[in-house]
Amino acid sequence: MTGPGTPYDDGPRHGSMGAAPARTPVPPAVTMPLLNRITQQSLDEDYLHVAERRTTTGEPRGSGGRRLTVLAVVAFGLLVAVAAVQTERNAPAREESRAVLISRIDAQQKVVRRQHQEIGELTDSYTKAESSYTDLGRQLAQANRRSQSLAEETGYGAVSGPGVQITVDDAPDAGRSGLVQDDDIAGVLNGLWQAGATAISINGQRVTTRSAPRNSGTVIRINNVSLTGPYVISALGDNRTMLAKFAETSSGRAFQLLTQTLHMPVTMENVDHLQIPAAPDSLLSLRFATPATGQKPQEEN
Amino acid sequence: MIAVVGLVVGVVLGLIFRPEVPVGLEPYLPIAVVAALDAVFGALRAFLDGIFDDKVFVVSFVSNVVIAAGIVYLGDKLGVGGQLSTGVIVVLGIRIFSNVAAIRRHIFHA
Repeated sequence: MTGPGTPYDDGPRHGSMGAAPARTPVPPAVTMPLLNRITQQSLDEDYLHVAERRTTTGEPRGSGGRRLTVLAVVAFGLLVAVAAVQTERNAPAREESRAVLISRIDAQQKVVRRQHQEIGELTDSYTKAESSYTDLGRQLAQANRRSQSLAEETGYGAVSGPGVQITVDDAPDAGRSGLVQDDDIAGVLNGLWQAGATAISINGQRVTTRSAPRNSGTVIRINNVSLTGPYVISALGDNRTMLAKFAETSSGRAFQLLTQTLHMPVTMENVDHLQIPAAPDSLLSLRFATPATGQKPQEEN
Repeated sequence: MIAVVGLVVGVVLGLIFRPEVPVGLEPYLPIAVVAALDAVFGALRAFLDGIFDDKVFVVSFVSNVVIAAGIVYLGDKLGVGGQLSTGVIVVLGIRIFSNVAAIRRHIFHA
């Protein structure tokens, strides 16, 4: 409790400065912790000062301020009541905004839940789509491989590898009958197919299912291209056995007989590396019928 | 006794008229009430100590209310209104508690 004898209170006030030593002690108010100070001086010091002055001067307790005191107390009561009323008045609005916020939170949480669900569904469908994508990729690779092998077989793609080469030319002095005919070439081709050839070309023209050697005057046309002798027939296949097998086929025997009788110059050799090109583009566009969809075929007049 | 009557009259007046507080003053009302409460408990303690003085009470009441509201107003302008009102309430609260403790000692002689 702050007493009248506290140095902080009455030291300087009572003019004891002159008698103070050269080094005045630090007032406790400076060194005292703030909270202690607040607690100790909780009573307004002015009450003490006024009481002290009254006892020293002997002046009577003034009653002129009584009305002011009552007024202040009335003001205090008014203040308390107004504050309470105001708080109460604001309460519904605050409650309402709180309720609005809560409902908004609820709504947003619902949205978040729904979106989580959506995320789950989308993830599922994404996984499914991905697996079907890998499936499709595998199928595509398979189809590509198949297309590749089909292209090699059917003449859509160039091929290379070991094989045999048969070169035949017109007989030098047999006149018109000594010319190589389309039938002869066709026989050789059939024999080679029978002997296991996988791809055949004549003078660089790929032989496909749509290629047929045709006589045209003294030349042979195949793939719409005119060829002249010597005719170099290259066939891809197992060249260890193909020529032997060819010689055993009826076409091979007929060819041998023909060339021997007409003295056509023939060479047959095994080649380790043959290049056979793709068929020309004009041969690669296939013509085929498509079924009429839905509608009845119209009668044509 | 007359002070109690004044308090009751004030409360009743406030409840009857329910004056509308201007929006600008609304944030300072609670802090003013706490400051006034401090002044009132200080006065009660001084009364029990036998050193109550009307002039000191009125001056401390008015200055408490004005200074507390002023500090919070200043804090609002500086952007630290919330922190400053917390500080004011802590200090006033400590004073109120210690004054009430002194009053209790007077009443119960303990």
